[in-house]
Amino acid sequence: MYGWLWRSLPGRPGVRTAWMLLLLLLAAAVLWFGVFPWLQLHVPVDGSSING
Amino acid sequence: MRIVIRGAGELLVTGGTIVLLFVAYLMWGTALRAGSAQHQLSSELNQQWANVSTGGHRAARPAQPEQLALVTGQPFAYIRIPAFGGRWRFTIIQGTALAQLNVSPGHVPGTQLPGQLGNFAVAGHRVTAGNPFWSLPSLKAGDLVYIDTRLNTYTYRVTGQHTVLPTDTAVVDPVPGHPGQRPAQRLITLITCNPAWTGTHRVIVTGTLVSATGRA
Repeated sequence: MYGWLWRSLPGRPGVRTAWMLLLLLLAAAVLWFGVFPWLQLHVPVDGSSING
Repeated sequence: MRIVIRGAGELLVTGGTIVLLFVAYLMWGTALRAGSAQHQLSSELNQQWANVSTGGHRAARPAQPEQLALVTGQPFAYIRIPAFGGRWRFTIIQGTALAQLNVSPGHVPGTQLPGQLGNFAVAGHRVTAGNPFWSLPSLKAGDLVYIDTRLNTYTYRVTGQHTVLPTDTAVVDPVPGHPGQRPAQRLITLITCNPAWTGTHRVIVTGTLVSATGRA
C-alpha cells in the first residue's frame, strides 16, 4: 500500500517525501477534526449519566 | 502470498496507529475542545448576567425567586466545588446526551432546578472533555458544592456517595429511591462513571441544600 503510494507520487525522492508528509498530515487532520469527534458521539467510552 | 502478508501487515500497523491517535484525541483533544467550549459558554453566561453584579464581599442577601430558561445545550449556571481546587469551576448546561457532556457537565432533564424542593441532578464526564468530574469519588461528607445562577448562589453540603448501575434511575427521583413520593428536602445529585474509562457503573454523590443567598 505505502510502496504503491510512494511509486505513484511524482518527482524526485525529496519531493515525494514532502508529498508523503503532506498526505499524512492531511489524513491526521481529517481524523482529528472530523472522524474522531464524530466517533466520540457514537462510542460511549465514558458513559456518565443515568439513562434507564 | 508475500504481497498479501505485506498488505495485511501495513493495514494492521495503520489501524494500530489510528487507534493510538484516537486515544490521544480522547486524552488531550477532547480536553482542548472542552476548554474552548467552556470559554465560550462562560462568555455566554457572563453576557446574560452582565446586568447583575456578583456581590463580592457584600453581606449575604436572601435568595430571589427566579425563572431559569432551559434550552438543551445552553448554559444556565456554574458549579464550584472548593474541594477540587479554588479555580475549579464549570458551567452547567441543559441535557446529558453525549453531545452535551462532551463540552460541559449537564443538568439531567426532568430533575429539579437549583434550590427547588426535590433533586437537582448534574452529570459530568470523569475522563475526556477536560475530566470535569475526575475527583468526584474523592468528595467526602461535609464538602460544599456551590451552584451559581443568575440571581442566587445555592450551597449544598455533601452527605454521602454510593455506586449504582447506569440503569438505576431511582437516584434522580425527587426523593431518591422513592418514585412518586412528594419531596420535603432540597437535594443535589452529582453523577459520573465508575471505574474511569468505563460505562459499567456510576458514582452518585448526594447533598442537601444548606443555604441560598442572592448574588445581586
